[in-house]
Amino acid sequence: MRAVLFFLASLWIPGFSHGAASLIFLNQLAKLTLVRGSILIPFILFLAFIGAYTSNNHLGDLLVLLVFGLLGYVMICSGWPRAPLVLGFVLGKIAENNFYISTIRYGSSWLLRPTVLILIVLTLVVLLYPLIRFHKRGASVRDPTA
Amino acid sequence: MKTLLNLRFLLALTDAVAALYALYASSHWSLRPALFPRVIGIPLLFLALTEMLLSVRGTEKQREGHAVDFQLTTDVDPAVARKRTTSILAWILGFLVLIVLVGFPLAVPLFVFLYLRIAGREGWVLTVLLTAVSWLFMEGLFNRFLHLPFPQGWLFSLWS
Repeated sequence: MRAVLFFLASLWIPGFSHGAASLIFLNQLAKLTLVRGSILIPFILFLAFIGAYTSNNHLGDLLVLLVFGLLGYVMICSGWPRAPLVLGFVLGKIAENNFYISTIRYGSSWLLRPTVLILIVLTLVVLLYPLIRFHKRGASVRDPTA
Repeated sequence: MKTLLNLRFLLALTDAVAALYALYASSHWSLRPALFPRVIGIPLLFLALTEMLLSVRGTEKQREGHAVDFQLTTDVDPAVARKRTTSILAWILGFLVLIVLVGFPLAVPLFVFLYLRIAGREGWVLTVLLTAVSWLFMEGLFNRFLHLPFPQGWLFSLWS
């Protein structure tokens, strides 16, 4: 019981203190947006480079940072959203592991399990809905009386 | 030709090549390790080819439903925007070279000083103050407090 309370406290106390600190300093933090870019840029670069380096303590990660920075810029110029790429990187390994485990355990029959079927249908809806909407709108533009 | 060589087309082409490579590489593997690259590679190839086709047809502006997040400003002259992009890219590359040459502890204050003075055209007081702050951060927080193992820097390693 004491362990459970300790566990809950370890979740709640940081949450509440973080929330309280955010509320107290919110106005001051918002003022950061008014700081000139020429002052922010060197510090943002410094923190980005330090963050990349400390992930593995290897200078090669700085090159990875540059390559992905350039890729992000090219994606912005091409109108590609970056969120799916980030999600893919974060979830890719988890998805691969669980895909492998499911296939080993159930073969291909895991694709017919109810939860998986619901997720497949939801994915198809999300993928196809913009296309259907686009075609419907295109048809109504071509034929205003429709 | 201009349409074929736009960034959107090239990005889709890169994706298609990556997908083709994944499919080719996994074709020599046994089924189990090859499963995931194939499951990801086939739809990626299909979607990349579709995107290439759409970019050639120039249907980008008619498309709807994609997330609107960070966008480049359109009210700046493209020549000025290109100049600014090249400039900041050069500064970033310069920072990387500086880190490799003299190591993090020296490169950070040096970069902050040079950027604020040359690119930012800030006054001496602010430049020196912020350089001192960056050095304090570097030396106090990352070096003394967190004991991060920063490499020495290529120039210094020549003498030691």
